[in-house]
Amino acid sequence: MALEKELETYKKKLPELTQHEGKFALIQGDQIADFFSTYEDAIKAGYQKYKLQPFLVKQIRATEPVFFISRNVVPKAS
Amino acid sequence: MCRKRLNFVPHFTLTISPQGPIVDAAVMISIARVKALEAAGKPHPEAQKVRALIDTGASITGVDPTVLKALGISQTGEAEIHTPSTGGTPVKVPTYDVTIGIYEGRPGQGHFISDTIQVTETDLSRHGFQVLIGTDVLAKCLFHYNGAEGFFTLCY
Repeated sequence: MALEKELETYKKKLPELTQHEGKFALIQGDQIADFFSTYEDAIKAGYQKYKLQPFLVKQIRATEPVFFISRNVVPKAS
Repeated sequence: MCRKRLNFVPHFTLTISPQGPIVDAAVMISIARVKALEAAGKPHPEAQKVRALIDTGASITGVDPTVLKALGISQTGEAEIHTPSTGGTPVKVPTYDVTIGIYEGRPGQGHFISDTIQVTETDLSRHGFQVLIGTDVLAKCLFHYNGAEGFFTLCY
C-alpha cells in the first residue's frame, strides 16, 4: 500500500496533533514536516520539499470525516 | 435576483442532458506538480479532456482510473468514503491532487478552474462520463438547476 508509513505516522501522532485540528499536515516517512491552513498550500510545500518523492497531506481531525457519493459508483479502496 | 447577479459574474448556461448536468471539463495535474516535474527535467502530461457530471450528491470529486493513469500521478492522501457500493461501512480510499477545469463547450469561451483539490479514484466506466464533480468544487460556485426550463447555470 502506498504511503503506508506516512499514514501510520499520522495515526500514531494524532493524539498530540489535536492542537492543530483542521490544519493540513505534510508528512513523509515518520516525520511531520509542517502544518498548513489550506490543502493547496500543503501540496505546494510537499512538491517543493520532496520533489517527486512520495509524501502525504492529511487534514488533522480528531474524528475522521466521511465523504459520501450517493450515486452507486465503486471507489478504489486503499 | 439571480439574473441580476449573473450580469456581474462569469457564468455559463447549458442544457440539462438525459444524464443530468453534464459539462465538458479537463483534469490536470496540480501546478505544484507541474513545477516539480519541470525542475526534474521531466515532461508533464497534457490535461485530460473529459465529460463530467455535476453531482450535488457527492461531497468529494471522483475521477475515473483511466484519467488518473494518463496523468501519471501518485497518491498524496487518503480519505474515508461511503457510497451505496460500500454497504454500511465507509472504506478508505487513496486520494490524488489535481486541478479541474470546467468549460462551456466551445474553445475560447467561459471556463472555471478549481483550486488544487483532492479527488478519489472512482470507476465511472459504465456511466458515460469520466468525472463526478462534487460539492467540494461547487463550494466556489453558484449552481442553478432549472429543471422546469431544462437548463442549468454555473457561476464562478
